[in-house]
Parts: sequence; structure tokens; C-alpha cells
Amino acid sequence: MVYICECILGDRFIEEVEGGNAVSDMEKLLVKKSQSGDVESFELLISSYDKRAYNIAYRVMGNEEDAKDMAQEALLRVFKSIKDFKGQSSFSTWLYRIVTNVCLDELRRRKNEKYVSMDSTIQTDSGELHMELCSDKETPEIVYERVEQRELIKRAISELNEDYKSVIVLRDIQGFSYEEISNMLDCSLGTVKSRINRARNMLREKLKSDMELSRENRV
Amino acid sequence: MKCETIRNMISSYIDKDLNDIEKTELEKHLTECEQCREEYERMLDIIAICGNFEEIELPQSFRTELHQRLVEEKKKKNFFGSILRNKNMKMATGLVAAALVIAIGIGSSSLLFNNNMKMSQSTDSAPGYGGATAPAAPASDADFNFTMREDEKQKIGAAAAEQPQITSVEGTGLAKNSISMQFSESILADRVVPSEAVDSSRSGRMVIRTGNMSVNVASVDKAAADIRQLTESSGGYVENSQIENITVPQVQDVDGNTAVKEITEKYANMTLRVPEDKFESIFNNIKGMGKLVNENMNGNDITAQYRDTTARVDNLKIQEQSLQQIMTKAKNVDEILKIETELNRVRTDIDIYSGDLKRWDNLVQLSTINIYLKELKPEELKSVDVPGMWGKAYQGFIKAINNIVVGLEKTFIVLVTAIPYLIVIGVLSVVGLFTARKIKLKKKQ
Repeated sequence: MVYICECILGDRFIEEVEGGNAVSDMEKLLVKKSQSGDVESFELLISSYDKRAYNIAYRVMGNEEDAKDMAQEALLRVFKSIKDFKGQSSFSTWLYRIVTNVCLDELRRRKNEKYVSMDSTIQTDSGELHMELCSDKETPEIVYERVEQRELIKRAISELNEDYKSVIVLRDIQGFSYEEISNMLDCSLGTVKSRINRARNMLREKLKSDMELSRENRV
Repeated sequence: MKCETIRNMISSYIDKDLNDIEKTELEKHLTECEQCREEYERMLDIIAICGNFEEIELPQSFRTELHQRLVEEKKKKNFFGSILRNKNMKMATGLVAAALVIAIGIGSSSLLFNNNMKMSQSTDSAPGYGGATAPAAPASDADFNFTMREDEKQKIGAAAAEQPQITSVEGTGLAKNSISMQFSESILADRVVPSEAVDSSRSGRMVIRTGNMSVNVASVDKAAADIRQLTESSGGYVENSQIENITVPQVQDVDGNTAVKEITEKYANMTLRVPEDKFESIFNNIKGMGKLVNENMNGNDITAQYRDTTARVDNLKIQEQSLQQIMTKAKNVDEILKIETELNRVRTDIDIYSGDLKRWDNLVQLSTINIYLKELKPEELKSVDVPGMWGKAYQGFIKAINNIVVGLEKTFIVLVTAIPYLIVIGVLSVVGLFTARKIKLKKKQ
């Protein structure tokens, strides 16, 4: 596979490629250029990863609006802190790690806020507004598609706490390896394994009761 | 194997993370146990469905929006980057520290230079000949230094009570450095009050300065000539110069017999007019020409009178003009005569007051120094203990330490003064950032 690259670099690279060698060399160059502040290099660098980043955010946050915000925020943060990237892990792992953390931080923050605001807004007019936000899982479409397994699973995942949710998204939906996940979540391999185990079991339990409920409704 | 154990292993089995022994155990159990097998298949199902979730596309605006934000971020970085980046911060703090050290050094050394001049005179001003000895001098010098501050305080306090007359005490040659003087003034007294040590031209006040001194010199003729030259080269003039030879009978002990000898003593009286801004340097210069017996300096602040008189003159001039106008409307000789009389009166007054102003101008611009010189035989001069080189070096050393300490004190005070401002700024910016971030995230919701 001959790989010709002429772009913002201004030079012509013609390389014989076996595997991803040229990719990682070019990536290193792009990383360097991004570290010195070049926006175009950075955009080229993340172009291979931004879709997946967006999807991770989507699966963790549960809706497109949030996914877009979180993904952009995360990529911006990647740009800001790219100087600190020392190549200890692969660039993609580092990028997805930031994405995951940004999403999880936001979830935790919302959890705290929601807890407080729920209590305090029951009497006020804005209480209803909050109720609506909380129950966006119960949009009409999902109600009608309740019987769809896929939607059941999606809903079950969204109900998981952020630790379980993140490992399910990263492992079962995105397909990252145990090592990559331990890197992204910054915890040990053993923690990752046990968390995946418990998350899957929890998912299973949820779906069991959901299935029963849907059966009841059908009747 | 118990079902519970098997259930815990299913997840790892699906991920192919079991060793061979565990694997065969599990597979064996699954063939036997239907419930566990169902669990296994259910889980496999769920995971398979999860794995089949389709990847959704990036929204249309995603990359363009991100581009905007990246460009904004880059602009911000360029603006703050050179200031906040770590390496530069270290260099900047280093430079600031170096600048501080240099500033203290300059401040103390300039104080030192000024005090050196005073030093040679303060020892001379010790009472009596042969009285002061070198070791004692530094101590008194230090005290002198300190008491000077006290005196200054009092002076400033007195001046704050708005007395036009400011009389100084002996040895106001201290701290001629205008910067340090202003500084100590602003610390000791809230207002910068003009004392005789501050140039009247700088503060905009009209001060007539006069100095008097009495100096014993080796040769009156030489000293007089030097003084004359000094005065004239500085742009002033010698208003009055008088040299006397007086023959005085003196009782002396010669070879055990009391004898009366006639001694001729030489005296000189000089009055100098020197430019006000060179007043102090010339004064100190002349002090150094011999042994100082006594000195004093005073300043007469006539700003108020000057301004009053100026205002008066202005008013009179206006009156003159209006009289002139009335004159043109006069109809008969009687009226003309009356107006003439009035005009004359006004004009005479103007002349008198303008004369006053001119006289004051002259006095202010040229300060007066009155000098009384007395010739003293060299032996008598020598009998006074002048601190030798080591004595002076020691005094200089002490002075330098004093000045450094003072310099440090002042720097410290400045820094401490700045702390409240820094705290306020810090708090405001933290609050600002915090609110900004909150608003940003609230918008997203």
C-alpha cells in the first residue's frame, strides 16, 4: 500500500506501508505540530477519532445534544493539554480517556445538582420543568417502542451509575480491551474486570424486571 | 461447582479471560446446569446487542463549531501564554527579584553617599577640640541618624500645622536624596510636606533660604578665594566680603614664664548669593573647607504672601484698566482730575507691590549664605581627633548596614501594603472565573 500524503505539512511523503507505520509517524508529527498550537494539524489529528469520541459521549450521556457538548468540550481540553501528552500511552487512548472523564464528571455533577434541585423545586413552578428533564427517558417514542429489546437495553444502561455505565459503554459497545479501559479510567486491571462483571450482572437484573414489566403491559 | 461461582465467571468467560482449568470447569457445568446455561445465553445476547449498536454520525455542525472553539482557545493562549506559561513565570519572578535587589542596593548606596558628606561634618561638630574620639563617633552618628528622623517627624508635624516659618536644627544635611526623603516623609506623615530639605521649586512653594555658618580654616585668604570661585562658578555672586586682621594680646606659657604675646588673628565675613537649587551643595562644600564651629539653615516660606500680593497686583491692574475706560467717558476737567488722582494712586500701589514681588523673586531664586571664617593655626586644627581611615571605614560600614536595613524595611512595607490589593484582585478574579464557568455550563443545560 503506497501512501501519499501532501497536506498542510507542505512536504510530500511517499511511503510503503505495512500495517500502520506511516500512520503513527504522521500522527507523531501532527501531535508535535498541535503542541505548538497549530489548529489545522490538530483537527487533522483528531479526525480519525472524533466520531468515536462522539459515540462514546452519546452512549454515556444518552442523548445527542449532550453528546455534542461533551465531545466538543473534551476535544477542546485535548487541545489545551496536548503539551502534557508525553506518549506514554497511545494518543487515541489518551483522547478517549479525556472524553470519558469529561462525560463522567458531568454526570456526577448533574447527579449532585439534580439531587438538590429536586428537593427544592417540588413546591416551585420550575419543579415541573425539572421533572420533565428527569424523565426524558420516557419520551413518547420510547414508550411506544418499549417492547424493542434494543431500547430496553439502552434504557437499562442509562439507568446504571456512572462507573458501571462507563465500563459497559467502553467494553460492550465500543469494544475496547481491558488494558485500554484500565488506562482510560485510570484504575487497575482487576478493578476493570470486576466492574465489568458486576455491571453486566446489574444490566441483566434490570432487563429481567423490565422484561417482566413489558410482558405485563402487553397483557 | 456451585451455580453462584459459575455465574461470576460467566462474564470473564465471555471475554475469554479464564484459564484453561476454569474454562473446562465452566463449560462442563453449563452442559449440566440449565439455569446457568440460560444465564450465559442471556448475557451473551445482551452483549451481542450492545456490540451491534450502530455508530451514529457526527452532527453537521460538530466540526465547524469545534473549529471555532479551537481558534478562540488559541487566541486566548497567545494572549496569556507568554505571561502564564511556567518557564516564563520563573524567569519573570527571577527578574523581579533581581530588580528588587538592585533597587534596594541603589537606594541604600545613594543614602550612603549622602550620609558620607554629613558624616565628616557631624564629627567636626562635636563640641570642643580634641574631645571627640573615633570610636565614640559612630555611636553618636547612629544616634544622630535616628534622632534626625525624630526631628524630621516633629518638623513635619509642625509644618502640618501650617506654619510658614520652618527652622531647622543643626545638621539638616541628612538625606538629601530627594527620593528617599519623599519616601520617609510619606511614611512618617501622610502628606508630603515641604520642609527646607525639599526644593521649593519642586514643590512649587516660594521659600527664601538662608544659611549661616562659622568655620575655622587654615588660611582665610585661600578659603575666601575658594568660596568666591565656588559661588561665581555656580552662577551666584559674592554680595559682601570683608577680611580683617586683628591684633590681639594673648597670654602664653613660654618656658615656664608667663608672657604676653601679640597674635594677629585673621577673620573674614562673607555674604554669598547662590542659586537656590545649588544652595545646599555649596553650603556643604564650604562646611568642608575647615572645621565647622556652628551652622544653621532656615527657610522662610513666603508663598502665601507672594500669592496674595500677586492677586493684589492683578486686581489693581484690573482697576487701572476700568479707570482708564471711565477716563474716556469723562466730560469735564473736574472729573478728569478726579480720575487721574485715582489712577495715580492705583499705579503707585501696583509699583510698590510689583517691587515687592520682584524683590521676593530675587531672594527666592538666590539663597543667601553668611559665612564667618576664622584662621586657625594648623597645629590647633590638628589637635582635633579626626577619625583616621579605619575609623571612617568603620563608620561607613555601619552606615551601609543601616541603609540596607532601612531599604529592606521600606521594601517590606511596600509589599505588605500591596497584599490587600492582591487579595482583592485575586478574590475578584476567582469569583469572576467561577461565575463565568457556572454560566457557561448552565447555558448548556
